[in-house]
Amino acid sequence: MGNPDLKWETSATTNIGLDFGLLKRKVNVSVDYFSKLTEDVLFELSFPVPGGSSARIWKNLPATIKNSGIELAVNANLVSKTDFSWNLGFNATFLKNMLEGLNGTYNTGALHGQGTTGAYVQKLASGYPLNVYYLREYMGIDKTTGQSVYKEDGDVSYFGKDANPRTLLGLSSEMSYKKFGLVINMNGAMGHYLYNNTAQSVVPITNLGSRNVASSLVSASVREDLSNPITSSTRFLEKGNYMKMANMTLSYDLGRITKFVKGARVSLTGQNLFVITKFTGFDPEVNVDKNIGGIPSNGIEYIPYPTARRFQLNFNFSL
Amino acid sequence: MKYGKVMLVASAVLSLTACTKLDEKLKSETTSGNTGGSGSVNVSALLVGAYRSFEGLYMDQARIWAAQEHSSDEAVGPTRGGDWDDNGIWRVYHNHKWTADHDFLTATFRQLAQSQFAATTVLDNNPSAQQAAEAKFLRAFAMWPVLDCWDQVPYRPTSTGDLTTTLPEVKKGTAAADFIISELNAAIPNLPSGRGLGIATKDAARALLMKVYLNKGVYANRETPTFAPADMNQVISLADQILAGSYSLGTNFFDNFAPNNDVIGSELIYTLKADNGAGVGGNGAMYSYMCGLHYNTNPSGWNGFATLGDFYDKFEAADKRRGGNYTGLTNVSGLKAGFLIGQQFNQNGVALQDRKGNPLAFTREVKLKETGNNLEVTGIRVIKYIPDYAHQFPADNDMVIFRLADVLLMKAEAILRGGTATNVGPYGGTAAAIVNYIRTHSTRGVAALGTVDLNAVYDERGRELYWEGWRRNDMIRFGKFLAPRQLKPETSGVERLLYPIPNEQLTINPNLTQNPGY
Repeated sequence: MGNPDLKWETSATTNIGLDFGLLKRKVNVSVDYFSKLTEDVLFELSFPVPGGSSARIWKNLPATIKNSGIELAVNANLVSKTDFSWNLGFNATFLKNMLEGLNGTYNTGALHGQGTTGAYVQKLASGYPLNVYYLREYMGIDKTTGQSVYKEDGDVSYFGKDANPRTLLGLSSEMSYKKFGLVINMNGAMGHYLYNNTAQSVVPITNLGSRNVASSLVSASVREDLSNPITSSTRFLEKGNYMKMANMTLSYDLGRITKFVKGARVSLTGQNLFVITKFTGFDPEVNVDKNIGGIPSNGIEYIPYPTARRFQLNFNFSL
Repeated sequence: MKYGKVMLVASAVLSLTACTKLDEKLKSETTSGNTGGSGSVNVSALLVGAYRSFEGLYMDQARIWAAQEHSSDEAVGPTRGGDWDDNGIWRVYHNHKWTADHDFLTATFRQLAQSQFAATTVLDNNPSAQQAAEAKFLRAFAMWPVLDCWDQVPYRPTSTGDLTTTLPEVKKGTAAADFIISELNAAIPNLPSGRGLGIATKDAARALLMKVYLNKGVYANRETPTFAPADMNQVISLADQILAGSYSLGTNFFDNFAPNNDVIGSELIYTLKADNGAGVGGNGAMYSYMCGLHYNTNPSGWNGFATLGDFYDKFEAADKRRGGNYTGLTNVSGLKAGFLIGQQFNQNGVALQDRKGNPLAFTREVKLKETGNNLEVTGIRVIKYIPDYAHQFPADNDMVIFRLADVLLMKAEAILRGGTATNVGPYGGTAAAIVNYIRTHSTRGVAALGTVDLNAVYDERGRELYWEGWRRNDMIRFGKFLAPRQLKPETSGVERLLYPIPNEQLTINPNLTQNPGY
C-alpha cells in the first residue's frame, strides 16, 4: 500500500546577514538571522485504523517546523609577525525551534531498563519545540518514608524543558611561534536538557546489595528507601551545557634534516581532552536512539559507549 | 574605530526541493499468494485470523480487561515497591487520572480496530453465507468496546481500495449502536445454533445485541441515561431466545472457569478458545490468576492486582461465589477458588511465607502505593479462572465472554428499567424471581432477597460477574462510576465516562475529535 498523495517537504528559508571588518579588517564579523519554515513535514506513520495490521506509511503532516535564530561569527587576526602569529575564531548560534499545527501528539524517547515498561519522556506537540520533555515533576525524597514525591502524586505529566540546545558555541585558535605551532578547537552547546536513563535504570537505589548504585544516592543527606519505585520524572533531567576541548595539536617544525629529507614535522594531537560540564553521564554530546515508531528522540543517555580520548604522535617527512 | 567596509546582504529564498515523484515501495499486502490459497484467497484462514485477533485483546491483563475492571471498584493494580509501578499506568486507571497517552488504552483502541479490519477482510473475499455472518458478528464484537469506551468508532466499510488516502469514517453514540444492531441482526439468520465455544453462534450474537440494547440509553447520554421500554423489551426477548437453549447454572460456579470449562462449563454462551494442544489461545486465561497470585504460591504468580475490601464486603459468608475449595486446585496447591484473604497454605496445610519471610497473609486493606514491609501481601487476591496445572502457555481455560447468569441479570435489569416481564424456562417471571433463582441456586447458596430493585441487581452483577470485564460498563449504566470509592477519594469529572481518544489516533485520522474534557 503506497501513498499516492505523497510530496516533498517544503522549506521556506529567510536569511538576513551583515558582514563587516574592524580594525583595518583584522577582525571580521558576520551576523546572520535565519528563519526556516518547513511545511508538509514527512513522517512515517501508523495507518489510520482500521486498516491493515501494523503497516506504516509515509505521510505529509499538516504541521510546520520553524527554526529561527542568529548566527554570529568573529574571526580575529590578532598577531601577524614573522615569528609569531595568532588567529582566533569564535562562532555562536542562538536558535529556537517550534512545531505548529499538529493534531494530537506523538510520543518518543522510549526508556529502557527495569520499571520502564511503556515509559517515554518526549513529545512532538504543537506550540512546543521538537522533542519537548513531557514528565512528571519530581519534588524530592520524603524524609520520613524515603519515597519520591511528585507534583499531583506523579499521576500527571507536564510539558517542560527543551531537548534542543538554544546556543551552540565554537572556538578555534591557531598560533605559531617560530617553529612551534598550536591549534585548538573547542565546541559546546547550552540551554538544553539531557535525560539520564542510565542513572534511572542502571544504578538506582534498588540495586543496593546486588549491583552498582550511583554514588550520589549513597552519599545523599536524605536516605532513599529501597522500595522507591523506578519512575521516569524530572529527577533524571540534567542540564546539558558543556564546552569540550575537541582537539588540540602541538607541532614543531624540524625543517630540513638531511639531504634527502627536505622537511620534517613532529606533532602531538589530543582529541576529546576534557569536557567542562555538570552533566553526570559519560558525555553530554549524547544521543542514544530511543525512537518510538520512527519518531526520533533527542538527548537521551542510556549506557552509550564512553567517548574515547585519543592521543596521536605524528611524524611527517617530505622528500 | 573605523569600519573598513560594511556589507548588507538580505535574501529570501523559497526552495521547493522537488526532484522526483516520491515513489513508495510496497511492503505489506494481503494477496491471494500469501493467504494460503493458490489463485484464490483462503477465506477460512482469514476467518480463523479474525477470530484469533481477539486473543490479544481479551487474554491479556492490560487490554480490555484492564479498561473495564481497573477503573472500577473491583480491581486495583497497586505499586509494590518497585514492582508494578510501570510509571503509574495501573494507578491512573483506578484513580481516574488517565490521559490520551495512556499506553494500554492506546493499544486497546488500535487492536480493536485491527480486529474490525480482519473481519472486514473476510467479508471482502467471497465468504460463504455462514462465514459472512461470523465475520459480521466479529466486526460488531470489535466495534462495540470502542463505542462503549470511546464513543467514536472508526469504521471502514471495505478492506480494499486505497487505504492511505481514504480515511475511516467515524460512527458515534446512537448511530454506532444502531449500526452494530443492524449488523448483528443481519448476521443471526446465517449463524449456527448452540453453544458458541470459540465460534460465533446465534446466541452469541443475541447476547451481544442484549448488551447494545441495554446500554443504548447510555450511548445516547452517558451522564443521565434514560432507557426506552422498546429497547428493554428487545433485551428481554433476546434473553428469552437464549434461555430456551440448553444452558444451566450447573453444579459448581467455578466449573465455568476451569481449564476444561469448554466441557464442564454449563453456562457458557460465547468464549474465546484456548487450546494448548492446538496452539490456540494466546496466553489463555492465565493472566486472570497469575496477576494476583504471590510468587510463593503454586503457580508462582506475578503478585500484582487485588480486589478492594469494600467490594469483598458485598458478599455474604455463605456465598459460594466468594470462594472455597475446588478439586483440582485446593488439593494441588492449597489455594481456594474465589477470593484469597488471610493466611495462605500449601496443599499439605503448611503456612506459606512471602519473600521477606512474613506470613503470606493477604490483607483486606490495600493502598495504591505500597512501600511498607508488608507490601507483598496487601490486598485480597482473586482466583476466578482455575489455574491450569497441565499447561501454562496457553492455559486451556477458554476465555468466557457471555454466560447464562449475565443474560439472566440483564433480563432482570431490563424488566426493572421498564420492559415487560416474561416467564421463560425455570428462572421465573419477575426481576426478583430471576435474581433469586441465581442466588438460591445450589451453586451460589445464598438466601433470596426480599426486594429486588436496580441497586440489588447492580450488587448482584458484581457478586456474579466480578473480574469478568463488565464492571466499568455496569457502573456507568447504574450511575456509580464517578462516585468516590476506596482508593478514589474524589468524584470524577464527567469526562471520565469516556476514555480519551488516543493521541496517536488523533494525529492520523482527522475524522476523530478528542472527547470533551480531555
